[in-house]
Amino acid sequence: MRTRSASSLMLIGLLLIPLTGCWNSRELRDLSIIGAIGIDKLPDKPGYKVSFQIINPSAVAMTGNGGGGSQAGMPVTVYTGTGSSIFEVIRKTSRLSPRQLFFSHIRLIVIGETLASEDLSHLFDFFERSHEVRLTTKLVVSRGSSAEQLLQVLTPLERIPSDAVYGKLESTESIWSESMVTGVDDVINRLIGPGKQLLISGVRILGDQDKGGEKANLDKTKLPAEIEIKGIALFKNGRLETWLDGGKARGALRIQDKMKSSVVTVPCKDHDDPAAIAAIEITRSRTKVKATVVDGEPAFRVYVREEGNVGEVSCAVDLSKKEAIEELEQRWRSKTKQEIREAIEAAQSRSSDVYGFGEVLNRSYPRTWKKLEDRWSEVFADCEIEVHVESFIRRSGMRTKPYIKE
Amino acid sequence: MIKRRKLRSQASQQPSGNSVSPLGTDLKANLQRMKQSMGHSNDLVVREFRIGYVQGDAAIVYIDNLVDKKMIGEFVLRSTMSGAAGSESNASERDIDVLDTIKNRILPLGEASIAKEWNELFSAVLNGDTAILVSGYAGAIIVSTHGGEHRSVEEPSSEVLIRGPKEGFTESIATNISLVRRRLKTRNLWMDGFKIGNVTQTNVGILYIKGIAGDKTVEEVKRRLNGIETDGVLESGIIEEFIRDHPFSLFPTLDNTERPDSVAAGLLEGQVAILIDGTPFVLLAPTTFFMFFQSPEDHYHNFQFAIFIRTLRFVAFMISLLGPSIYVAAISFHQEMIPTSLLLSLAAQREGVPFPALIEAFLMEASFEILREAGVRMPRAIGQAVSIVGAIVLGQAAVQAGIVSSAMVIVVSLTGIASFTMPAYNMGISIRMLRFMLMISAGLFGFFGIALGGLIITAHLCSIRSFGIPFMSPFAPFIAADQKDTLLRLPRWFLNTRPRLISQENTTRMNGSKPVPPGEAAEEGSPDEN
Amino acid sequence: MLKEKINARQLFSLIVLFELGTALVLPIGFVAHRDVWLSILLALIGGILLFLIYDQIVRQYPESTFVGSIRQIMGTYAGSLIGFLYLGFFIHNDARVLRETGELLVTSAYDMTPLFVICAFFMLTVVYVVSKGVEVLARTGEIYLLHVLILGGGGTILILCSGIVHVENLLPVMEDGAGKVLESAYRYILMFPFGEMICFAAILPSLNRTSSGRKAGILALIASGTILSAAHAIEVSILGSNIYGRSTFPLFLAVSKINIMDFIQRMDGLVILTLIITSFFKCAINCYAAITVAADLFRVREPMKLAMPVGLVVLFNSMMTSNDWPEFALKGKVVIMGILLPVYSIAIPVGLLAVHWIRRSIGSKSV
Repeated sequence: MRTRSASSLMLIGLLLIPLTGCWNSRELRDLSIIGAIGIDKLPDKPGYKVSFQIINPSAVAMTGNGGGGSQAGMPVTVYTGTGSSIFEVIRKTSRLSPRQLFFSHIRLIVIGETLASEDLSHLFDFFERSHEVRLTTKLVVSRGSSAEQLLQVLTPLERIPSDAVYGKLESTESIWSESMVTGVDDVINRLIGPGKQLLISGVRILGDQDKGGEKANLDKTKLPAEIEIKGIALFKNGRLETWLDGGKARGALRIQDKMKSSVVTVPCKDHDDPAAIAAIEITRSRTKVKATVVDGEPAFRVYVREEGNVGEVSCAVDLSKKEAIEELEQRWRSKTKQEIREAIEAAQSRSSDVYGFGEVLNRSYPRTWKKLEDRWSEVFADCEIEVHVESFIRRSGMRTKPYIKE
Repeated sequence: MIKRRKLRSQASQQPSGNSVSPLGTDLKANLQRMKQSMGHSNDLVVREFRIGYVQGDAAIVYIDNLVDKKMIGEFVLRSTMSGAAGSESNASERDIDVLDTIKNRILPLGEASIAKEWNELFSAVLNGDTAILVSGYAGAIIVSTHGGEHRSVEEPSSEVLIRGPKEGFTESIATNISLVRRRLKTRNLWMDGFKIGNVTQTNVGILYIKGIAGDKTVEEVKRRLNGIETDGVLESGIIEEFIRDHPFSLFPTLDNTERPDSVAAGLLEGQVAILIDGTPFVLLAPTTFFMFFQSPEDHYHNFQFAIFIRTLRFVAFMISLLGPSIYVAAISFHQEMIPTSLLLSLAAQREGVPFPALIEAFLMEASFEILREAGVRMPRAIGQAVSIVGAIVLGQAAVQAGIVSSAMVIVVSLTGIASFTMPAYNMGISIRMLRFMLMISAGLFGFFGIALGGLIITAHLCSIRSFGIPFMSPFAPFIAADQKDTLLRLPRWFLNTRPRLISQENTTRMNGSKPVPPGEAAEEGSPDEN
Repeated sequence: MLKEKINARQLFSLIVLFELGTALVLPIGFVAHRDVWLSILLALIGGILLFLIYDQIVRQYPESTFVGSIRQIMGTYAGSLIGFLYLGFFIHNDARVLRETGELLVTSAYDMTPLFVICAFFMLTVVYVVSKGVEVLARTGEIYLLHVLILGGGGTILILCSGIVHVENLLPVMEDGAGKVLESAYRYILMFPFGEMICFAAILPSLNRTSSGRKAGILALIASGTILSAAHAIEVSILGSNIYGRSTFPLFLAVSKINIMDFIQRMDGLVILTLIITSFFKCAINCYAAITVAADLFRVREPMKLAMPVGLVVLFNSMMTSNDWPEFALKGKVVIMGILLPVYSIAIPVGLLAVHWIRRSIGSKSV
């Protein structure tokens, strides 16, 4: 009897504890949902300037409570703070934000170009340690403007700008394949892993940067300020070295086997008329990189196999004929090869193995890799890399011969 | 002090008068005593007449409206009044002889017996029998003349099926037993009777199939029924409370049903049925947790549908138990689990709501429960209006006023509807109560709280037994052979064993045979022949 | 005490849940890195051997409890002494499991909640379930094994569908040589989680058929070892060996990367749920072992009365054992895996068995 009442007393005592409050319970009203973070360098002292793009739910949600969007306010608000560590800035910004900053739904981290040009390898520890931030958050570098400015630009069609950028990034990776989607975990793996340097896509503001944040920006059909995904930043040891654009960027994606689909324009016929082009839609592309070791020196071969359809021609090439197709394939092949070569050249000239050749070597020849690991960047710059391309045009759409006459 | 209380209650339990004394021979005195014991109640009818056989005075006593008066008139009065005088013989032997002779030779009724004691007499008359008292003889002939108004056999209101018999039990235990007997025409269907309740003297009967039901189970049921000491038993629920294994558990351990085909199916599996006079709800013991998810309809439709519906029921059970808890936990603790667009939508909805999620959930659930109860009690005419008022006006208006968020209304209504899919009402009410407890633990600790709450509930379920059978079998302990009819229902020709723990001795049914398409059967000549 | 019986299938579920315990979510491959899956499989063999030893000891005296068997082998006083040692060990191990679980929960989801509160409520539930006896624990285990398998299976399907697995991360195999793999297997993984099976020595006497324990145990170990190996392999292939080695809770990170059609994402709740369930059973089994040993040593007739006191002791032990996580992890590596587990799960059982055999052969010789 006594033990029973004693244990029930203890039980009751223990049960009274939760009455003091549930510690981790947070109401949705007390949270600021952050869509994107921008990190910039402070101009004169060490430390960071961090900007937060906070989503205003009532302006964005589809429910009737939201009313007309313009009445409920702007879809996002941007707060900025400075400090010597990112974590510090986040808490400091509570001086500005009426609600606690909530990171679990971040889509995007924007890094200012000036910061990237110095060194970004120290930035990511907070994102690793926090249990709120997901490793799948995507990273971009803001080109020609600061991250803060980029976050302020409003976008049509997609109300939340961070979603807009994210959407642009994903869709261009899959249909134009000149930019790649990089997550925070990729970045971290590349910063520390052996034999792989960093590549991050770039984003820039087209048009008048200052007008981007005004509501008036949305009131026009042709916007004064727009966000565009442009180029890939090439890093060496955490520092931005150069930008890859156009064909080089595409080649860069190709080498990493990230090419999903794109459109390649090749000259139609042998005359040098620049207007006579054929556009080939790439439907499939597979790349394999193989390493070999010759006399202790590593060499690589890049095998590309791609398939496509002819999507548009502006000259009178008869696509029902096999020779015409083969000619186009030939030109396509050489264009692809050229793009890849340019991409490799860009990396080798800066001694930065961004495509992971070192890792390929590690997987096949771990002992050779061990010997070369410490000075891999120099070794890489002189490596011999062969490119073999196979291109196949399968179909030409709903027509065979074009309607264009010579 | 306790002893004195017991004695007093004992005294109050016995009706006035010495019940164990025998009847005297004086007719007038007997009749007077009877009327006095019943306080000269008007419905105790005494009809005096002369018995032809004895050429003496006699009287019949019965209670109006409990008897079939036609039977009395035709079979009792006519036959006794018109009998010829019996032969004279020794006076002392006549006592017994006469009553016996009247019973044996003159009364053309089905049941007849002789009562010597007062309590026998009262018990019989109060049950609807007629007592014949003959002047000069100590004893009364009791003949069975049950009659009176009874509800006819109708469709059971609490368990409605689309396909299946539409007969339901009534309040008369005799009718109910007959409904079961009609379905199980085996001589092994045995019945035992009890009278439980000191004041109500309710007839309680148990049915079981000898050889299929476990002997120990039957013994246990009998033992527990015999041990009930109470004033009155009006419904099977009262008996259930007395004989159940774990009186404080929220979960029911006995099933009840209004359908004779359910009872018959249960008996075939080895259960024991307990029928109580005065209620159409019959108890079935022992019961396992998964039986509350089974409806007889599962066996009448095809097996694919049965599997689908049973899985659906289980999912609905999970939803009705965990629905609001998961919502509260996700909204208050684990916002990262919600997809971003949904989260934004929810955040927008909750902008104006003053209450924390837990309080809001509580309010909504409580109002839903109130609405539900009100809907049950409402007279039919107003019932419709209540549901419209409740659902549309309250829900919509509350959302628009910003007191609750629409998502919460959706969650609560889904949960409520899901809880209606439970075929067994008593399990449904357990779940309704458990839901509130889980909501509290979810509001305090999020998913951690739900997980712990779930563990406690499961452990509790695993620890209770129903008449010796673990409540969670056949899942824990896992009996592979019984899986055929728990969550799934395999085709009929696979179901050739009975649940192992319930019907311990006799576990094989007949081997079912798979239906064979006509082309494969032996051919007997084509119909094309002319 | 021995009136309650569990059958082989229930033993199977208990062992699998126990082994998955906290090992599923912690980076036990901190030495072997990307070859952790190999180490686990190697350690599995050792684990099976250990289990056979425990089973053998219990089998010799099928009617006694674990402590009873020890007493019979070593004599009453030495046996009781060893029993006390085991009591302390079980309690401390249970406290470690409790602390581990609490810390993981606090780190990953409940950062504002005091550790004591989480551990207290967890322990309360454990005490409630254990106090109902081993049969109830076993039945609950059967049901939850199903849950865990469904959760795990569903999670695996989601992982495979979301395309985040990169098998290349597992290559090259054994780049640092086989030495590290073996060291990881036999110095660390054999101890945790396989060595902790010693507490099943207190449960094996409750089997209804003593001979069935062996087969069920081996099957359970193989099953759980395979699951652990596969899970860690998937973790490494998703995260890369570097992030895997540095994180406190790699399964959590791996699952948080699932993103299917932008809708099914951030399934961390699933992982937390799995963690709570599996570590619950590990904690409960350890607790039960402690209670039965204590009941035996102190001659308590109703062992389940001790559930609450033992629970409280475990709770406070878990709070006091370390000040912070690094100290806790270090203690685990040096003290538990380095000293205590080898002694309690290998040295003493082997010693007991040896003494038993010697006694038996001497005994038969003297006859």
